[in-house]
Amino acid sequence: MYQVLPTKCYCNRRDRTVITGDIIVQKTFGFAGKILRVNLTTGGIWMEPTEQYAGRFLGGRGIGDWLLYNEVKPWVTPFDPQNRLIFDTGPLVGTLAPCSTRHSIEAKSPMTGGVGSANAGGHFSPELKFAGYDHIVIQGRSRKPVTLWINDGRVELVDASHIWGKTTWDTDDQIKGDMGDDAIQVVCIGPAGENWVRSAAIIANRARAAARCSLAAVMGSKNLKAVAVKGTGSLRIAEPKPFMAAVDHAWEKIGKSPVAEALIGFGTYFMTPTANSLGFLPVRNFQDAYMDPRKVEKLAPEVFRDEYETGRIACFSCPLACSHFYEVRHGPFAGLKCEGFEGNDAWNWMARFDIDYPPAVIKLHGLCNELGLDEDNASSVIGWAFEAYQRGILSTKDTDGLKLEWGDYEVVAELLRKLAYREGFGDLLAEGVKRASEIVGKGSERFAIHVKGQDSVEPMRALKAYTLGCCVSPRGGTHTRGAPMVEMMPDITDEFAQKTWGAPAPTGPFSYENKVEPVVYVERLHAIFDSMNICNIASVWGSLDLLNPDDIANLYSAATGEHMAGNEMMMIGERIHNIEKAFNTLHAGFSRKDDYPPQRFMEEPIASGPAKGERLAKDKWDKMLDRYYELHGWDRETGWQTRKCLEELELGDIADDLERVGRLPR
Amino acid sequence: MVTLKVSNEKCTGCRACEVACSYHHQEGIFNPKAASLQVYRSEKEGKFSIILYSDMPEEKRRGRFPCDLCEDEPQPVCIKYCQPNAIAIEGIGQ
Repeated sequence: MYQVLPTKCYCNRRDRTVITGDIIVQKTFGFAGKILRVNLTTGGIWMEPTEQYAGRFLGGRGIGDWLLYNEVKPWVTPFDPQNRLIFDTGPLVGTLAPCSTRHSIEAKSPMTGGVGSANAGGHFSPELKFAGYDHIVIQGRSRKPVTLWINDGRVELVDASHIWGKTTWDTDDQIKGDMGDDAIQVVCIGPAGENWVRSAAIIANRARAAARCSLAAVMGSKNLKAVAVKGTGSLRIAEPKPFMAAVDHAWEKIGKSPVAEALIGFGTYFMTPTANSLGFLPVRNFQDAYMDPRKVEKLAPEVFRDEYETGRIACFSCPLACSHFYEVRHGPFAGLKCEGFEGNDAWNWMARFDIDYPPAVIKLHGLCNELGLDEDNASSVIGWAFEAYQRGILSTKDTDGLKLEWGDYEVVAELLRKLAYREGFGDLLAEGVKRASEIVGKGSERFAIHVKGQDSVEPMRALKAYTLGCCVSPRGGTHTRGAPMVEMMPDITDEFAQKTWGAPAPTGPFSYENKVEPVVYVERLHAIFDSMNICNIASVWGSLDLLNPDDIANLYSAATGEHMAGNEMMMIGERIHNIEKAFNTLHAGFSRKDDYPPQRFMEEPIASGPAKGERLAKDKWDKMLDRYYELHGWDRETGWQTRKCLEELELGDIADDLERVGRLPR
Repeated sequence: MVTLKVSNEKCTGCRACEVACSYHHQEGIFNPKAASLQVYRSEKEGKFSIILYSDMPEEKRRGRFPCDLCEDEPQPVCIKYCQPNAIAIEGIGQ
């Protein structure tokens, strides 16, 4: 047990000073007001006000990225105690703003050595704000496993030796039992995070995974099993009536949107048949991108709804409730009950392993949540192993006697378990697809699908804007930075595109025309949404005009009393994106050469279906990259930032840092 | 008498009712723990139940505001923001 340390008062304007918990902060609006800091090595716990960062970086991921950039130096490795693990809420989290529910997490990424960032929904983030904190910044390494227990103003580190080794589901139960309160919110790691597996995820509410970048392995390296929160406090709004007007406008927009119906019906899984028709599936580890529609039919969204769904389940303040709860009543997985999944599960299990048995998809999804695995990364490295086995590069001698044959979901389940515990063959898989393929060699690197060392499940080849967004993402080959869904939204007009990102609408899914501008636009938009921690379903993944920058600006302005227009927010979005870019340049040395797609996608065309023959042409890719750097104001030759662009974003300090290491082109 | 009626099987556990209710009682402040109702979430079973504190004596409400059926609003705000229609008004009156 450690004592809460008194913290000095940062505020000297008496009229606006209130005492909250153990720190004196200014009366803040929208924000909870405090950043909680924990040093696990010394047991020190202290706080600082959020206000000093708020206007410049918005909140959420924006502030998290800035703290990470400033506090983790390039010589610190991801599993070094000096790496930070930063949990963020956002200025709208905990309010009635729709979908204001998510928490984002940052650390130096064990996958890439660059910026690591992940994000999940559920009910943890609002609870943390009601307890009085906008962020938690964790540093150091505890000598024994601990849980960070936040009970409003009382914060302590409690022994977690008795839950070390438990699954995330058992951990959630145990902590709630120990604290004698079912309504507290818990984020935790499972065996995967404890074993520093590079496919681990931090799980909230038993099913909401902050996945990719393996931040759970960083949490495991700090011996931090869980963060548990109980918050009973209040959040204040600066302008109550304008805020409710903005809230009502946002609820109405979301409720009336045509995409809402599909999301309410099936969640993001609704896109599965469309994805197949666009050559957008990683079939047998990307040996194709199109599946026999009869197989897809067996796992159609309607099948899950009609045969397995028992209800819907919502994140905090969400009118969509896009998640569904499933129960399997028959067959080998009878008795399984768990919260359902996203469109990714069609990629991860149906397409990647050619599985056509619906309960197996539910089982593999549930197993990942239970073991604390990121299913995208896990399916990526196991998919690579299956292909290596198919090609004779791996044999049963390497795989602990397992036959890795496509469609065999029991073998996939067994490998997930081995992966989470680093048992036998799982120890190799736990290094992620890049490292594992380099250890095995024999040409298996060619079908190890990753960008910058971050495993990819994203089907890049057919849709060019989407592919560009994945490849230039600062967190590595993932779709939650700049990958727009414009190629799946055929109703985008020239007028809308011109008004929104200043170029005509993209011409067809497979072309390279007018594809770069929406990527840059969506990068900024993601930065805003992640900084508010409003769900991307309410914009990028739903419809681009669902909640636009002006809507978010109205909500933010009324909540905080700091008035800001949509275009000013987009400028801050660009600033946040540039912080991540600079972190990568300094820490991992990434440059233009790291913004190319995996080799397979440039050499091997899609084998069948409507996108048959599509692959990425180097000359056209180079043109897209040139335009992409130009739009950001970065150097074309190296892909690095310039002093001019950084100074325009008021990031002159970052330009100095880059100049010092010779990575600031003139 | 007019009261609120809940259909737990329709509830998705988003807690917008709690959030809206707390704001109705104290304009400009969100604090679900002060709301006149509470959503109990069973994430293991995927089931939710809405607890109404309106009929309970004060000691059981533990500082929560008593429900006034949002007399100054066109309809109770918990109903307004309940997307799956799990809360309704029951009874005759007004």
